[in-house]
Amino acid sequence: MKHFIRFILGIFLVTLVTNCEVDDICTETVLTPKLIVKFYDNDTLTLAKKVTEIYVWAEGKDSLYENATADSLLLPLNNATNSTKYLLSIGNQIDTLIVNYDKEDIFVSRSCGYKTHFSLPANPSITQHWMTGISMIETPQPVVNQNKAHVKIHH
Amino acid sequence: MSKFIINILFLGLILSMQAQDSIPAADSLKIKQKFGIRVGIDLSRPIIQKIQKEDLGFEITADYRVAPNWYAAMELGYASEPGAEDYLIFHTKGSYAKIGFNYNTYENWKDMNNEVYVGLRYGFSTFQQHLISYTTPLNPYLGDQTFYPDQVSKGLTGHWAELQVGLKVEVLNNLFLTTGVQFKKLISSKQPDGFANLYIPGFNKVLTGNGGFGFNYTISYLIPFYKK
Repeated sequence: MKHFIRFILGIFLVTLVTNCEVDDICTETVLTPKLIVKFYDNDTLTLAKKVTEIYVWAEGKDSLYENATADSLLLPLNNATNSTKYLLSIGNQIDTLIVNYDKEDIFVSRSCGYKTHFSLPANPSITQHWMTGISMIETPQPVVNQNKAHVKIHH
Repeated sequence: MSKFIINILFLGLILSMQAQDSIPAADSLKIKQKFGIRVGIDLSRPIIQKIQKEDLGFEITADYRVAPNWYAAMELGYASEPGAEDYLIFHTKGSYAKIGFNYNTYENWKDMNNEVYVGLRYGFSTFQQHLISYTTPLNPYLGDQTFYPDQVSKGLTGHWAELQVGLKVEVLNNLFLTTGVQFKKLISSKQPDGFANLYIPGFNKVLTGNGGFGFNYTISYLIPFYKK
């Protein structure tokens, strides 16, 4: 009987330790991925080309990038709608970028709730003042992580 | 040689039987113990319900003494539990049953009937999860969005194993107060589509690693059938 009780107390301790992982605070840093836009040259299409002194903002919002020099941009997509409009300005030329997408909310955990994954069925639309073209890396383009660029903009 | 050992063992057996026969006086001093069914109700839930003014459910318990230190035991209950996390609001409702045994490790003095018990249970629950709202966090620029899917997932099930440790004290004749802790491990569960079982009736909050934890404060009454 002593052995039985020791066995039970053994299980007791193991359960105690494994049960102590409480999941109350969200420790993730990236949940809903942002759209990564990378800039390329207009003539040599495979040549990455930085933008300088760029201002970027979503329609009706404050600036996301101010007077920035960047080879790529991280643009949050609005997961309450199926479209997000950004304005990108260099000098006194302003171009608009309209991204249309399908979205899916995915359960993450008790502490973090849900995240949204996006899929771009076709190229986002742009105006061509300083931009010259846009293309996606894949068709349709999934936006499920922030590991690499999703969209190329030529200028 | 083996014949010799067997003979010795046989002799020992006979001697021990004679030894038992030689102390009939001690046997007659033995206190007779009560055997019967003990039924009870969990006290903590009705009290919390009164304070929070919310229907949270109930639990009834029963055990039956099958041997001096062994009790077949079960719990039946219903739970209606609101759940609120930083980015989730949900509500779980359902009933559960637990069946198993308790072993009493405590040696009582004279005619006392107290217990320090360890027990094992198999638990089973059928329930529904109502996902009321959720928020997709970490979007400071465009703002965190809250959605209200109002989605009810029915016909969910959960199975678990449970270890119980506790005290039972006979406070009045045949009336017992019990306090105990429960450590649980979820074996399997049927998850709702696009959500997860964060709470299971009878199992309580499902922690990471599928662990669980619970308390019980029970009042119970023993209906004695016979004494032995």
